[in-house]
Amino acid sequence: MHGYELKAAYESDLAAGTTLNAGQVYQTLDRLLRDGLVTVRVVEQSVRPDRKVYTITDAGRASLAEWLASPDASPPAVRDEMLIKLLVARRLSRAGVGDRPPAACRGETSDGARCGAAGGGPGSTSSAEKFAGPNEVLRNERRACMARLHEINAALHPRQAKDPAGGDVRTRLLLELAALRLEAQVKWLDRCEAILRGEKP
Amino acid sequence: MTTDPIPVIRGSALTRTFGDGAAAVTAVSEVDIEVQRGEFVAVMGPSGCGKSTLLHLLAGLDPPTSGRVMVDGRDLADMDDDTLTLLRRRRIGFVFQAFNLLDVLTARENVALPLELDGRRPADADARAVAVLERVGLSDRLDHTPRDLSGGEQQRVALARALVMEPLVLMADEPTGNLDTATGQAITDLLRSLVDDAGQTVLMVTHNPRHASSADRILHMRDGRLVDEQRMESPRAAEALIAELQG
Amino acid sequence: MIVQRYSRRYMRRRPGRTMLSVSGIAIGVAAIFGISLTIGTTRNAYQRMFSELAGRAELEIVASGYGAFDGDLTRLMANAPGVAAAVPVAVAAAALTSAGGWSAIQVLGVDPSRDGLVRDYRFYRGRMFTDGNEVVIPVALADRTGVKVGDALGVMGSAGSVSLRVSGLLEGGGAAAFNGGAVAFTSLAAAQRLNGGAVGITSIQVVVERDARPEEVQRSLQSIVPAGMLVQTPAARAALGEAALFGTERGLGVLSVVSLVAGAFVILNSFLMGLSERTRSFALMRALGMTRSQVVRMLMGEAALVGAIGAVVGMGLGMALSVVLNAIVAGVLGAALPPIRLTWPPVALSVLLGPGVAVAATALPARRFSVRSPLELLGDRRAAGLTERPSAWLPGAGLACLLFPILVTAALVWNRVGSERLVSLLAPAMASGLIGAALLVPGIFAWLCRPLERGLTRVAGTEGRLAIRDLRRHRIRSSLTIAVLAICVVVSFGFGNSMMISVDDVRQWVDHVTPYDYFARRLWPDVGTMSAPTMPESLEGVLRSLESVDVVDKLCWAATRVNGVVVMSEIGSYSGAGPIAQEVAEGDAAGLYERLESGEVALGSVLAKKLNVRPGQTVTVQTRAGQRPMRVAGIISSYTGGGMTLHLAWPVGVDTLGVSGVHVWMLRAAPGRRQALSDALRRLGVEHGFHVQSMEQFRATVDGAMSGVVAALWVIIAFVFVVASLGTVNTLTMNVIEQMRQLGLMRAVAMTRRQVRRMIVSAAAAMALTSLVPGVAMGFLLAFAMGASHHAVTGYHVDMTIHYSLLAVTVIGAVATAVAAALVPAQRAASMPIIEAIRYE
Ligand SMILES: Nc1ncnc2c1ncn2[C@@H]1O[C@H](COP(=O)(O)OP(=O)(O)OP(=O)(O)O)[C@@H](O)[C@H]1O
Ligand SMILES: [Mg+2]
Repeated sequence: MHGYELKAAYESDLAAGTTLNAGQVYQTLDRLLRDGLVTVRVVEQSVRPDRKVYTITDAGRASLAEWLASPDASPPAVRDEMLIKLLVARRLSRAGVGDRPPAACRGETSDGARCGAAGGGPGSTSSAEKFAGPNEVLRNERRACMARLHEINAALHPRQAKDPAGGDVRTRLLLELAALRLEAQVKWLDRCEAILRGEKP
Repeated sequence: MTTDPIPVIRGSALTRTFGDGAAAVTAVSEVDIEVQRGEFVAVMGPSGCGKSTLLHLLAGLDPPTSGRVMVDGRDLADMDDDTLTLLRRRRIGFVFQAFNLLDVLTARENVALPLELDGRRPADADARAVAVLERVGLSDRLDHTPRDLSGGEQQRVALARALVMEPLVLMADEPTGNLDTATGQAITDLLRSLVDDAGQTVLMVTHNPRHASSADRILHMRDGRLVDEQRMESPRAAEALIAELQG
Repeated sequence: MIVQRYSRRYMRRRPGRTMLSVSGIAIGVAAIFGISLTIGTTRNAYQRMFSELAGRAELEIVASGYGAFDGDLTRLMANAPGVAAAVPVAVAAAALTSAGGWSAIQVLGVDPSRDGLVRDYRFYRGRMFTDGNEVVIPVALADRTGVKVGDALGVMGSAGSVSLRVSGLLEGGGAAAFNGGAVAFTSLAAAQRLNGGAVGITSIQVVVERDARPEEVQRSLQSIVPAGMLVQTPAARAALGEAALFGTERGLGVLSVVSLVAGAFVILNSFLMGLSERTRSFALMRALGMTRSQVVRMLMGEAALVGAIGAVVGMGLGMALSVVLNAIVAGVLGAALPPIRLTWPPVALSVLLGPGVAVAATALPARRFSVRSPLELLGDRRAAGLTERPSAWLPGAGLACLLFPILVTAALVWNRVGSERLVSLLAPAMASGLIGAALLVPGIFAWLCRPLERGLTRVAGTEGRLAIRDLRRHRIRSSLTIAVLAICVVVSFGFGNSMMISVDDVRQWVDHVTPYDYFARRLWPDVGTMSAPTMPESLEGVLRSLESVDVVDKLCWAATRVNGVVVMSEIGSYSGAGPIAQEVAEGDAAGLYERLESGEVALGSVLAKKLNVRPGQTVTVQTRAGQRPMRVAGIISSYTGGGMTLHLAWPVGVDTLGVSGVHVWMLRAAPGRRQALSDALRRLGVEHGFHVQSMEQFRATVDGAMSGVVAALWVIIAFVFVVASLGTVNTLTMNVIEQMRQLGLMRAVAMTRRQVRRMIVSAAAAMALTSLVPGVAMGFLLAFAMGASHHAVTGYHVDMTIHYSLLAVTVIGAVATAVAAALVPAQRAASMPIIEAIRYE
């Protein structure tokens, strides 16, 4: 396989819609060559310039096998922005400048106007002088997650689809990954709510 | 989503208190809720927040302590037990989390039972039951007893039974609660397609965010109260979503 | 459709439970069916016997004591208006003297030229008799005795032994069926000869003209017959036998009602278990649109189905029971009863009662169950208490139910109300009492819980305490099982005790007859016909001349009427301290014989009770010279003829009723000469044609009959205990199934199999012990009531003794039954793999 073939395969299969720059490809190949994981052989062509054809070595095969077999259970980044937002909101609300009670939401019960429309950001409702409290932060995040989940579901099962977008395996795997991450996020939000509620009094 | 002048289900100022004195528990408190024809509504909330109780009130399985429930414009408080039972039988399909089926009856008998209770001829009832079971994808499991069906299949039989009377509204209390993710998702998808293809009204209680997100509207309950309502917007084109996901 | 299928499959899935329900009903039905079939058969037997004899005759003319009268009357009757035919019949009681021994036979003297107008003679072989030396017998009798056409038949009549030649054999049915087939037809003259040369006939049988009404003809004939003659229907003769049955019927009636109540409790118990087990299913059905009435209908349908199956099974069992009872009754009455024949009334009764009782027992719980909301049923952890909390009104209702039998018993003791009506109240009163006792069981159980818990903890440790806790958790279920066990105790102790008292009483009566050492008789008369060949009075001189004899008395029985009621008259000479003096219930015993000799009479206690007559009053006795008032000297308690007896002194009897001949000689040996008397009598017996029976043999015969009664009693008690043990198995199994998870946990934590077993057996023992309280109390009440009703029926007092051995057997039996029954569920619980138990749903 030569460099261009590798680039094309990566772009079509592993990360559709992205482009890989050629320099990066060859840089990587050089490193593999240096480590003895591949060998290179020059093929002369009649019309086009000569090509370098790379072949995997036994050491390279072993290394690939090891990589594939090793799990990737490293936790996602703990420095999550949502976590920071939540902690800031908590601090503000404790300081008395950001505690819009959830009861304010319940009051407005007329259809659609309840607690702001879907996707409404912090500060889009009343109490302009105060910041969103932790509950509102949580709610907004949950709404956003749910809206996104709804879209993913729709993408996986479009209404009158004979051939859903999830028809191609790569997209489906991607959508499932996103859906489960979102699901986990919502569950985490639930836990946050429970924990924050527990420390209230 | 069609908007009907009369909501299929309307609960106003619903409160349900269990026990009295110091031991009193208010499971549902001052809840107002409306479900329109053809809508798919999900109710979410932590365990013990009163979801099941609310659903029971709306299905006429339990009388509210105060407030009223109207089904198709008729007040449940005005009904005697038999009328209420008939309403349940003909207008409301109910699916519980588990133990939905009579274990000595086969799938088709379980589904045909409400029809027969309603006085339909056994042959007709059976034919209908088979048709509905086919719709939920169980045409090859007609004569199995619940014991011989998987959890997902059992819930699909329960769904078929709830649908067999062509109810105005299908209520499901954690229909996926006992199932694994994939099986549960299949049940939710089935509900979604009922809404999309047949205009079925569905009111579902669930813990699972993903399952809830199939609905058109999500209600969040906390401590017996409805605290948030989210109406889902029409989804973007799939391509845009995928592009965004790939960042 | 589906609903029925659901019920059926459920029943099939729980075969043990279904079997228990069915057997509960089956036992009740079996008792009712078997007993009413037996009573009906016995009653019918007498009626049919006489109707069959009468053939086409609707009426017969008899002398009032069924004695002989002048045959010339026949011609007068034949010419009377409305009469199509009138034929004479002379019946001779006789014994068939074959090599195998003597058996009773009725020899009918008929007029062969005219008898065909009344009876059909279908010959199997041979022909009609032509003269008094020939005889025609049923083919069945011929087969039994090994006689063929042309053979000689030895017949012992009152006049002694004669030999008749068999000229023909009759096919079964019709006249050949009379007296259970023990019948022979010969000429009038031959029958008269057998009867001791007495001229005359014993009845004229009358066929009424087709367009005449029998009742009118009966009236017009009655007006032209001479005084002392009666025109009656053939079946009327059965009255004598029926009267003798009354006492037996009373006991059996109470027993059958008790069985039915027990059955109702059994089915209620298993029904309630079925309900609590299926709570979730019902919740589901209610939630998906089953109305309350549909629930009730479904449950009733199940009950009716179980009831119907129970009725069918019960009728089968009842058939078997009635065969046994029939044999026992026959033994007690000393009569040959025809085999049990299925008749419609008991079948109809069973078909109604089986499903009826099942539906009635389940109606209340089914209704109460149906009004509960589906959610209440669904959240069965919260609703579970509902089925298991006894209502507050139970103790009050229980006491109210108990009042009925207590009042009836009290009334029986003081005997204020008409006794027969009171006695007929006995069975419903006992049913009410049992229900009352059962209603009190939850209260008694609650009250006993603490001491039981303490006791069991001492005996069985923690397991005992856990056992009580389990029982307490399912109070209704436990209470019903306790109730069933209690009914067992009632039957075993109460009923058994009163039966034993009666048996003792009969034995005591036999002992009172002891002043005699030997009886000499040709055959004992049976209760239905009171007829047997007699011996000539002239034999008395021969007997008295024996040097080994001390006392010679004679007895003879004949039917007659007192105040219009058919009774058995017992005519005796009582030179020794005869039997009846020992049994005087009312009146002066000392002067009784003198009074009787002077023309007064004594009445059997049952008859006196029925006629409401006391000593010193006058009764009208039908004599051969018409009605005659006679003064009552005393009341006698006697088992003869079921107490429906008239006692006369010998000369008075001969004079008024025209009896001739002696049925039984009663003899006492001179001191130290018993053996000599026995030898002498046996020699005389061969010469004069009689049998000698010693007092011991007589007592053994009676004992044999009584042992039959006692054996039947034990069979019935065992039967009831079997059902109770099934009930216990069921309750405990149900407890085990429901607590499977818990048991699994306990096993996982620490409990050994032995401890599990001990816990369940302790529960059974606790139930049995609790059942003893209401059981023994009700048992006493039943025994008292039966004793009092005995007095009310028979008119004499029977000492109320408690058979403590029976009480002990009952207590041990109840506990043993329950413990034995517990072994099955205990084993099941102990052998359940722990992991499976924990996963049990
Ligand atoms: N019959 C009852 N008697 C007393 N309390 C009850 C009864 N039913 C429900 N509750 C209480 O009411 C509250 C709400 O119960 P409910 O079953 O509606 O909760 P839920 O939201 O469905 O919970 P989950 O998600 O666990 O099913 C709980 O605190 C519960 O204990
Ligand atoms: Mg719930």
